[in-house]
Amino acid sequence: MTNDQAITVEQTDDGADEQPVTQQGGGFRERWPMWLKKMPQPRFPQQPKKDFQLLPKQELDKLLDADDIDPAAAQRIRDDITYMDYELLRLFRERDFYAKYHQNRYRIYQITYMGLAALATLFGSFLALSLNGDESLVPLWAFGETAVALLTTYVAALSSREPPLPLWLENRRRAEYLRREYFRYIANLSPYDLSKTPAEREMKLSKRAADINRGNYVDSEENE
Amino acid sequence: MMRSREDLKARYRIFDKFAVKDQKNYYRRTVAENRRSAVQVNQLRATFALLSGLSAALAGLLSQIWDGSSVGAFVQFLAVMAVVMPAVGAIFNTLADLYQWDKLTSIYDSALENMEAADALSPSDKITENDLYEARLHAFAEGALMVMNDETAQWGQSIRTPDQIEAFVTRQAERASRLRDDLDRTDDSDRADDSDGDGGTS
Repeated sequence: MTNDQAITVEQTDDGADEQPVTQQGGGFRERWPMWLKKMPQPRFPQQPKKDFQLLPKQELDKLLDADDIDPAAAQRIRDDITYMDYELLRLFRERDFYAKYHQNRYRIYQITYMGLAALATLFGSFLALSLNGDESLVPLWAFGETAVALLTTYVAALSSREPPLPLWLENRRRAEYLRREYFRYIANLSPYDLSKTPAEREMKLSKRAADINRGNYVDSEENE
Repeated sequence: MMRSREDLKARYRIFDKFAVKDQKNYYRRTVAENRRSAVQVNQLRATFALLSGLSAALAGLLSQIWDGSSVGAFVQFLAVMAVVMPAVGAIFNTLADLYQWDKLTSIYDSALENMEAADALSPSDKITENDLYEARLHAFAEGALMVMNDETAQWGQSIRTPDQIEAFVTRQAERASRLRDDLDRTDDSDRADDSDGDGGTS
């Protein structure tokens, strides 16, 4: 049995050209070479997108309003989505935003170090050349090397407060857990399928989402 | 809480489109983007290495075969280029280590294959028994979530600060610290000289 037997061709299309659902969206640095598109943004947004949805409304409506979908089932799914908006998606938006924010910070610092390392190499090389030629420039290159050392120490001191790498990784880890939990609830997988009442199912989600958000994965998929 | 067949079907459609297909789409795009970035940066790296070698070789040749005065400025320019180009090339070396495009490509490539395998477990509408349909749906969805989980774990392990950046920061911090020590020593000896002088005049 294959997917083709279960749903129509249009529905099985992977949509390889479609932009995946992310907070950043498409069109960012559209005409830039690919490697430059990956460079950090000097001006990063200060807030997560409050209206971001893991299931874009238009596409969701198209799918749930299809003729072969039972309206009552569609309504139950919409209720789940509404419930998750505050209990889970709000936390996901924050975690996802902070992961991107710290990733951006981390890369800004690393690229600054790379620039400083290149400058240090240049000053060192020019210093060596000057020793064999115009020695009047030697103090200038030596000063340049010292300035690079001081600047590097300054940047290192700045980045030591809230080190971006662990914050990036931890926020990303929690965001991805929350995303999976969202789909776990939608598909009614374990432990939600064992709930006896809708209220119990909802409370289970609230607790698990809050636990994942604080980095406590005791009751999450990791230990099941 | 038992779900109706209609409910399971609707949930399957949502999960399939927004979790599995979207994730596969993400993997495909990321692999393509990483490959393109790796190729572009590699080209830049090779170009700067070539220009650096050419500049040095040309500067050596010109200074040997021509009288220094006629091409002196050009030879000097080439000598500067022979110094600047490797430094710029080194930036692209470190950039490739920072972004790890090749390593991430292999992680996402493998995740895409695993997601295809998970997708192959998707339930068919022709399954008549409700229990079996639900079991297939759960196997399919759990498999897809497992792939996402594994991919995130591998990604997390692959993110490291490049060694050359860490070494550079350590070296520069030591240099700045030595500079501070030198300044402190100079201050101390100046103060000692001053106090010697005061003692002599009072």
